[in-house]
Amino acid sequence: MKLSEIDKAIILWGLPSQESLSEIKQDESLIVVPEQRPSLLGLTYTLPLLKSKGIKCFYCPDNVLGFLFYQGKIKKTYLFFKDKNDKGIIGTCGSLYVSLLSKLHNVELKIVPAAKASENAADKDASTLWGQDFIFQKNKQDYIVEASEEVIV
Amino acid sequence: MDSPLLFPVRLENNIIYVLDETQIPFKEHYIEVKTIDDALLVLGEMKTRSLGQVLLFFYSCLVFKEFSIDQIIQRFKNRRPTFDFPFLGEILKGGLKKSADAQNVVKGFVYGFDKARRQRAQRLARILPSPANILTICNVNGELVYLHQELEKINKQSFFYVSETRPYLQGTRLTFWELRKNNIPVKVLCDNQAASLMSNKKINCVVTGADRATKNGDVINKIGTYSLARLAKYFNIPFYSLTQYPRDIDVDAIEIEERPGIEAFMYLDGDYGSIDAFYPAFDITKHEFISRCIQLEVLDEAVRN
Repeated sequence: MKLSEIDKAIILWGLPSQESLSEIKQDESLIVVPEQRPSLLGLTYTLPLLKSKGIKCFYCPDNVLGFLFYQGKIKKTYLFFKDKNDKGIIGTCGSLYVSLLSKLHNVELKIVPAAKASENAADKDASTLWGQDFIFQKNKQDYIVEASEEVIV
Repeated sequence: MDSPLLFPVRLENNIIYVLDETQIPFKEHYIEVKTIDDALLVLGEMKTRSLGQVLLFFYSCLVFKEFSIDQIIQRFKNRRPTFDFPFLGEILKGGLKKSADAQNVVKGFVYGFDKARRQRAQRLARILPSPANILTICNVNGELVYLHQELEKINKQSFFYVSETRPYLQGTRLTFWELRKNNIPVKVLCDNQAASLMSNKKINCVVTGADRATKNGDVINKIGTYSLARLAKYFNIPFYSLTQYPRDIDVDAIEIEERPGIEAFMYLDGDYGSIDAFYPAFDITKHEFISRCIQLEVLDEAVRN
């Protein structure tokens, strides 16, 4: 995929529900599937799902999203949330990152309930990728920012 | 101080040795570069980057004398279009006007560069708060170790948070690794955790490198830098960019290198050849999102001369 081929694309963050996919498919826009670290939701869940529905999409590392916003390539972000509480909505790791970047670039943020599905358990934080350890430290937890669900007010 | 990343490319007995940064932290392996094609291969395959590609360029000009400086500039630029190899060529040509000994010119540059980045770390240390809880991305070839030392000298505590920097994981594999080697307090986070970290007030400044800079303070740096700058501004956290040789150019006119899509899956076992992916190596951050550019002063003099 080249930048010149991307226009008015839609970002999906979190676990897309089956119900939301018909709306997304109707839109006929190109879909951005971010990697979604640590558990690689984009790779393990969203990509196979979109492929099975014949929805055109492309994959990118999470840190590429800012560049796409900067270039004016994004028209909408879907944030699939897990839960709500009195402070706000609760999304998967990185939900605040993608929500704020959408807001800062005046991109529509659509909040939708997420699918109930389990996440890849091999990667719970930045210490591993596909289960491979890149840290090698005793007391590894002392060297990692714990990945957790995030509240968006 | 212990970090091979301070000088990731060496010249010994007319052979260039390039630290294979893609193998760190698993292995410290040096690739022998004996031909210009070897040099272009390690450059194109991201075996070295940042300061490494500066050193590789200078040493290639010394060793591969069958090629003119301009020919080497062109070949390097074809492999890594965003980096300012023409300017490095100007520095070298400028030096050669003053001294015919190219080896000495390059040696002087390398020594001057190291001295200047130590001084830059010293200037930044004076600006940063105490304690300095610093978020960074990618890798600045040992300069954060210098920064930690300079902060200690003026009795400022520091803690580093390193964004892992997918897909090549330079944050985890290089920066986290070199800071830990030097017993500097550090934690790693996924790139998308930056907003959460800022929101929770865990950091009070952001420090990144810059591959290119313009005179009005815009920078091009590793992909993900722009997001950090926008989020930092939103959370009123100062953002500092370590820059060198700023140019009087429009940052949007610089070509942003788009790497092969398959590299988006780096370090993930499996066959991803059929998946369409997008991986630009850099992004652009405009000056309004940067609190201050901390420039390398020796090179500023080189530009003026």
